Amino acid sequence: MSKGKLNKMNKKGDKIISVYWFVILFIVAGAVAYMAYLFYGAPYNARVVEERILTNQIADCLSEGGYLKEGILGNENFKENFLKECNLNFNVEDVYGWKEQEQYYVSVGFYEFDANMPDGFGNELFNITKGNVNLKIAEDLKNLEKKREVDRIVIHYTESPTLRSAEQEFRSIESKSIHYLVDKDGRIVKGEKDENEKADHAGCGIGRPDCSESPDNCCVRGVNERSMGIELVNLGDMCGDETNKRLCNFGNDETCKQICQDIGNGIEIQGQIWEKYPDEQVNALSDLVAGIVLRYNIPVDREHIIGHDEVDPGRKVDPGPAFPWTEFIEQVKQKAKGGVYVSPGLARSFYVLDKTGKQYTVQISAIVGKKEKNEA
Amino acid sequence: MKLKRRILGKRAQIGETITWIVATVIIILIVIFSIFVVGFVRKDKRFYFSCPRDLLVAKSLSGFLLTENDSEVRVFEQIISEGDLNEFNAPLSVKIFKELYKEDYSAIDVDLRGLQPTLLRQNVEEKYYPGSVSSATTEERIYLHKDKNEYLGVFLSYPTKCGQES
Repeated sequence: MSKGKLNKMNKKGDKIISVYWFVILFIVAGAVAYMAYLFYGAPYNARVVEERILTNQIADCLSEGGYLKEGILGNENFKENFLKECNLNFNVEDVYGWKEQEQYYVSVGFYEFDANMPDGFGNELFNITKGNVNLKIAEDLKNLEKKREVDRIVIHYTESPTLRSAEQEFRSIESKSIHYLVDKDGRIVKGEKDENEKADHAGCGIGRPDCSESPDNCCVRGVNERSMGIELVNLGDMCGDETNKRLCNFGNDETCKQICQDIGNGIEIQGQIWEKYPDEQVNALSDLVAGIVLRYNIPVDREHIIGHDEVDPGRKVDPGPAFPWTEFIEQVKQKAKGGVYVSPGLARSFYVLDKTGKQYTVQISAIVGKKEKNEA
Repeated sequence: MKLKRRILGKRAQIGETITWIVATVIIILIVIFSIFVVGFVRKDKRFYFSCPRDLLVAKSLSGFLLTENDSEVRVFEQIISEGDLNEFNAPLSVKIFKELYKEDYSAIDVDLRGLQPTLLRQNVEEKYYPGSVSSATTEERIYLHKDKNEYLGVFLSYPTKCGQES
């Protein structure tokens, strides 16, 4: 081989090597740029920090120098304006529809300090809850394995005046169980059954035919197996039976009607007085139902979100004609747009006295939300 | 001779080429591995912050020192006069600090320190708070003045947690 030919081949080899180096450099530089984009483009998880700040802010708002501030315990006004009173403003940003849907959950419980109880928690005296309850429920359900298919949500009323009386009733009747109870002020209490367990809330009377077989005097069977049961604290027909009449201080139907109307929470529909559902209760229910439909992929319509009266027509009437179905379904639709929330959550407590020296334990739960999927 | 040199030259080229191919594969594997690692790390980007003290524990300590016994003597007054925890306030402190914060801290310790050696931890306190918090600790300190020249410090120690958990 001549020298010239060898030189030419060497130059060609050098060119190939140069191109090769360029390609490698390009790949490595591209990969570094991509990694930088991947890492710095990802948002920081600041929720734990935010939850701690929120908890501290609330603790500072409630107590000073070892004493509980005056005018908090039992003060409904403070409860109503809690966020304002504690200088908490969650409307400063609007990422991921923050303003449209609350992405925080705050709960403050005031307990008697009882040295004989575990952790010192005695009777609950007062409770303040604000924000999106689904954050709390999502937190509780985070590790829950879905063991059953759910495609219906059944709304009931308790026919009892208070949350406590409804809870007592549920505890005393073994054959009856539910998933959630919603109080008039919007407080949501978990029932005795977990979401992945069947609750006995919409069963049929003995001998009643299934509606798929006979449309007359029938009942839809098998609803409990595939549904969530939610009870609303509500009397229903306020003058309808002896128990309810008693709440209206007895008297004849006319007296009862008059009393119920005077109380201001009765509404006359077709000659009967039905207890109104407060906005707070409907709002909390729509929060709760929005979370369930997202978790179980249930369509938001009247076919899948139903009343007990639709399962057992003729025998059951709840949630009754006072329940605002149209507004409620619209609220659920709006809230279910958002997606499922998850959060690590934080529940912390402190020991405090009031000015008389009475001892309390205050528990603060603060959750800052994050949309995880179905981001609209 | 010429042929032999050509054959040797080609063999050398084959060796060099294999080296480059192997180097390329290694570079690409390293790049892919790095991207994978970054992709994994990015999922859990958190703030790391130092947290010198726990506000809720501090509030509980204030509440504890202000608690009155049946004779309406407050805990801080009892500590000043007795120089140690007693049978009323030691179990109360255990209930508040060791039980209320057991989820938050693996260990928690209350001890009293003063200028005088006689005021250092004594029997009652050791009974309720044996040993001490060994890992990096955060302290809540409240100094109780006995008189102008003498003070007693109530020290509540617990493992520093904030920076680790975030």
